[in-house]
Amino acid sequence: MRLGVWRHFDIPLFLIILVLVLVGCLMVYSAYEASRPAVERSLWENVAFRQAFFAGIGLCFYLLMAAIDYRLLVRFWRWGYLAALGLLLLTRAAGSVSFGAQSWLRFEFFNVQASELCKVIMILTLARVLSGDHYDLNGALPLALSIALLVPPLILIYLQPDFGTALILGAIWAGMVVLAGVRWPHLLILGMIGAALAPLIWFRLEPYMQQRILHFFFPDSDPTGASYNVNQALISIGSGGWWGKGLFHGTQSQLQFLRVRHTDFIFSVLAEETGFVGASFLVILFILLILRLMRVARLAPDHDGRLIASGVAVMIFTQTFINIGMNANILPVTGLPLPLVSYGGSALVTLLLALGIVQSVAMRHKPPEEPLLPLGR
Amino acid sequence: MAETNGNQEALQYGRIVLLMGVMGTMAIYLILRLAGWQLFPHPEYVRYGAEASNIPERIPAVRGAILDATGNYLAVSTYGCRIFLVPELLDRIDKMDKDGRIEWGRAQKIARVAEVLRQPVESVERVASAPPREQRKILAVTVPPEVCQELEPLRQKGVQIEYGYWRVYPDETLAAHVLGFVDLDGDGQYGLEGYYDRELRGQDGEWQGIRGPWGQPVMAVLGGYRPPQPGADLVLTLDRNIQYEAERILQEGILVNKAAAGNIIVLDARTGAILAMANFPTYDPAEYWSVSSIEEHRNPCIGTVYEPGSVLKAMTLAAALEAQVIRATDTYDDRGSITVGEEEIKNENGKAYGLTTMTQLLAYSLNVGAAHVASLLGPTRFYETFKRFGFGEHTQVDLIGEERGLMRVPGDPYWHMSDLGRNAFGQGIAVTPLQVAVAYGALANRGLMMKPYIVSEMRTPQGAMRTSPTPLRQVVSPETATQMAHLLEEAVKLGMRPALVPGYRIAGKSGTANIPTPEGYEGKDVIASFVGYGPLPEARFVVLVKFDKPREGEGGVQAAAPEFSRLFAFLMNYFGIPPAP
Repeated sequence: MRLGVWRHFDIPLFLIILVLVLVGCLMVYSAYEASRPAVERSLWENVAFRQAFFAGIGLCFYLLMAAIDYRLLVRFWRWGYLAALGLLLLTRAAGSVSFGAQSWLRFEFFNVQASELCKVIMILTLARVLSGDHYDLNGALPLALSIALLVPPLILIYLQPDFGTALILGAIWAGMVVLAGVRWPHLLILGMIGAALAPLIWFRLEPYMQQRILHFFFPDSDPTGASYNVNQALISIGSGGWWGKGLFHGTQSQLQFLRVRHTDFIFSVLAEETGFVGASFLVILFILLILRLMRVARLAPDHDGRLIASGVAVMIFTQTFINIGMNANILPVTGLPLPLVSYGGSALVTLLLALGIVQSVAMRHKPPEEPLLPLGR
Repeated sequence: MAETNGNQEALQYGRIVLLMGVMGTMAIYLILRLAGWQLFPHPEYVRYGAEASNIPERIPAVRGAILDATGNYLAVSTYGCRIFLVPELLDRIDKMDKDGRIEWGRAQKIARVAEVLRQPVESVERVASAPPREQRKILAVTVPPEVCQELEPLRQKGVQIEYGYWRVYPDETLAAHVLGFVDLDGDGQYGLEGYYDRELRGQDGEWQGIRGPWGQPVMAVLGGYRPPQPGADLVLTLDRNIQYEAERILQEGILVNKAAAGNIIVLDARTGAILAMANFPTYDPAEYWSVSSIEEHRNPCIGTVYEPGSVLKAMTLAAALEAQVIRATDTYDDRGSITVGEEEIKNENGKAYGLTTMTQLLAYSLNVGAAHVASLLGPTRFYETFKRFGFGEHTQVDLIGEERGLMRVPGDPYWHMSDLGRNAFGQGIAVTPLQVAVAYGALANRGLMMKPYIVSEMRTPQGAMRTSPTPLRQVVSPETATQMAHLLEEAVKLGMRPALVPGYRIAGKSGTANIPTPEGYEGKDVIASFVGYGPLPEARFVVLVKFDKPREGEGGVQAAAPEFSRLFAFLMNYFGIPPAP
């Protein structure tokens, strides 16, 4: 059997991802399972097992995406975009109709999936729209088109309400616009229009919306009330020291002072139990991942591939920075999980899927000798 | 196109470098920030943690029990719950299952509560609809926990359930005034619950330490745990069986005499121990709020004063015998009236009895004779002896709310010589029933007055403390006491025969006193009483029976003496005292 494009499989990238996923499973176990009383229950109820299970599924998707030429995916961007928009609209419609409690849970699950998938599809869409292969980037058309395509899903996600994901979507767009090489004057004009519109939009917002935005920028400084989690996270991180308290021995996490410790505050668990050394190790892993993704972007054979790789890089970086920043009290609490590490099946699967597409780009950084799938070029 | 593509690529490489620069800066900031948090101490967070765990928490102590002399519980704290009704929530229609198919309104809820508590629906409805609507209504106390569990589905839906240690009074109204009650705040009020509140309450424990985020205790800070000290148990001199008999006889007497109220005291004269203290009307301490007025919580035996009337003639005579101004065998000429301090005193029936013995004086309860003896004695010696008998002073009994009564003495601004004549037969002087019983106790106990008490033993985890009987003072000499016993015994035989107890020798005196009003002694209402002691010659028990405003029987002899006799006979039987030969 000939290796074909698999010869260029980016092994370091894959290994970094694998290590991150394993760290995630371990920390989910420590945060949620280690201190639980030994009660007879099915394996499926074990959160760490579930995380590992979803990691397995995610890795299958990873390899599948790597096998498929990313250009094939980009070709179907219109359908993908419409499907994502349809999903978002469907969840919105489902949300406004009254269901029982159980169907509401199902709806919630669906909802998360829709917005997670939407991020990946938006990366593909923006890559197609912003790449110089199809439009002249010296003109304003690609920029205007990208905004027109961004706004509908952005609003739908914001109304869910999922401020965090909307923020990520905005960041992906911004990062990709800059990377695509949109002219500075255009960006400047856009910025000015935005600044002019901001007060108009502000005063048209409902008071509770204003409140929410104000709260985002100026959160309460009440130590036991609203920012309980942040304070507990700071205590966790701060008490870690150089080497931490030992895996499964963090008092803050094992005694459950940290509330959403296996999702939003999993970094605090790691920082407490493995100290500065462990926390830095994780941050460095993420830096390596970003560097590797950017390397893929640099070596990509075309603009589409370059923008896909860098879009995924921006997505992962923003999400990581916001999550750790929230743990370390640099940023307000937005409820974004730590990519690849935090517990959450659908987020993990879609993230690995997105990384699989990047792997696909990496594998095709030179024109393939034999295309895996018949593609006219 | 190729050229612009090339430019485009160069541009994009530049942008990649720019973006990586931005991301790199942010990553470095993040790491520095982490280093700052993890590698340098943060005293303000240490302090915050210490403050959060520094709030001591109270662990309530279990209140001690009250036992009677035979070891039965009169009051005990048990774990259970109280049930309140919240009318406003009761009226709402609530879903009673997950799917919302079963909906309950007020009627169904009340029916369910009544069913679980085994109360009639009407009584639950009555409690629920009592005004004011805004206020929660107490429906049941000390409900067993397993019963409360059945009402849990109605929580937040009109029923309030409070778990804790609550006070149970197994005999309900028995000795209510002696026991007092524990209010909803857990404070002892009235009676023993009030007097011994500190001892019964025990000492609450304290816990100081770190709690988990759901309030679970994680660890106690060094020395942060002090276990609660359970309250002391009280063992009473009061005997449940005697108390029960006393209350039964009292209630029958009130029915027969159509009296408004009444009291009975049984005292052990040799020790001062109170064996029974009965009052009517009474209340249930477990539901102390269901009285028409809080006055009903007061123990009338110690907290309500009255003019005792002729029962005090025994004290007047004892004082005169002690001072030797008369002898037991003396006689006097009763002319039907006498003037003491410019006030004319007459006998009750207005008759003159002529030559009269001291026994006759007591037997026929002659006011003229008592005033005559008092005027022979003179105010100084009269009041000295009355003070020794304890009038106008607290008896120092260990119950809350004791009144001292009122006795004006020479030197007081409102004292007049005429008071001497009237005090001699128990008018113009205010006393409590217990004061009278204790004064007779002194006569019964060879002139030695014992301090009355009701707690014989206090049991704490550290050990038991027994109360030893405390002599207060020698009121009169043993000889005087013996003479008085003889006089009173003969007087009963002569004029107060309903008080006689077949087979036993008893001494006693009746009293029929008008009730003073601001306008004087008007109206026909009286207080009828009888105080007696025995069995002679070595008297042990003092029994006081008192009825307020009897409609039939009128006087102490007719109304109170028969009840005295019955109770005394019971005592003899109960203690197995053989009849005198």
